[in-house]
Amino acid sequence: MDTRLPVAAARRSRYLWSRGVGWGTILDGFVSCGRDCEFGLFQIAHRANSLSLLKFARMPNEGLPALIETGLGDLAAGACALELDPRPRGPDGPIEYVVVAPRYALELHTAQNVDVFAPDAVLATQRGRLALLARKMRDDIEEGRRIFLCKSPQPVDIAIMRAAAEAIHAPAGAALLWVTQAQDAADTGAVEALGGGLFRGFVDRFAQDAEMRTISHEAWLALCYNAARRINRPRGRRAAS
Amino acid sequence: MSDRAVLDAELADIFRDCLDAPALALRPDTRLRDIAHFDSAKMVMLVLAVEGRFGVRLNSREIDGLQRFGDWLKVLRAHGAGG
Repeated sequence: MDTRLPVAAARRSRYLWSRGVGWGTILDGFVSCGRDCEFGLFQIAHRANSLSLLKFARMPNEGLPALIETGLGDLAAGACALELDPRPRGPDGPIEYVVVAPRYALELHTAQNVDVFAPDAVLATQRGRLALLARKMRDDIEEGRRIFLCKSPQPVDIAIMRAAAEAIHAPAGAALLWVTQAQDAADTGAVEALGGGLFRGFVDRFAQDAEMRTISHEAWLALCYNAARRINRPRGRRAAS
Repeated sequence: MSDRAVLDAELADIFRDCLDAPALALRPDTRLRDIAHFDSAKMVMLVLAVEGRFGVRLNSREIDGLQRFGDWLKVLRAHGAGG
């Protein structure tokens, strides 16, 4: 029997509340692996407020293995070179400092605007923040209790995702959920196992420029519900499926 | 004043300072998300300030569990702060 949550059911939050499940609790079980802010904004919209390094970050999928293998340690130790790059936040927004770790092609929002904060103070604050969040992400990988989520709106070589999954899975069995766009509408919200701790999930579309109003909430809710059920199953049962 | 009361007062001072809210009233059951303008950036500042002040290092699971003011007190006591 297919017990997958259909997308239409995700639209009605009561479906889950009636089963004693809160969206915030489910979504806090996921750790965003960057690419852009879409999943972080989606988590916030559904009251999932857990801290994570890449929640409001941009990083190419290709950079993930190196970030996990060496970058988290560098950031946690304050040994990673950081630069500030002032950029407008949205088309008409204020100018915000974006903190960049060039070695890992990693860019993170700071929510600190140039007209309020001095660059030296921002850099000092961000060093502390990134050290804490990198340490936390490393803990999450080493505990293996959360699902890491990476999206790729453009096609990406599966070898890159396998390398990222290996880095995440090896220490304690954590899973990487790789989210792509469904080619068939019926696949929206579905999750498939690719082996080695790598799972692929499908949404009907990605947000445009990671804007909150263009997020496909129903598809993401269905996907996360299905992924949490499938991936968090006892490992013996998961392996048999 | 007992060690616990000192811990409670010191922690409350850190909250008021980090959140820039000198009159903030805190009870063990005060939920962080109910505090005006509380967000993830302030949460990071709080964790860093508390770790620095009490000389502790909180792990990911502990940080995720810091939903109410009382959770912070419990975690700090578990690390040996406040007697």
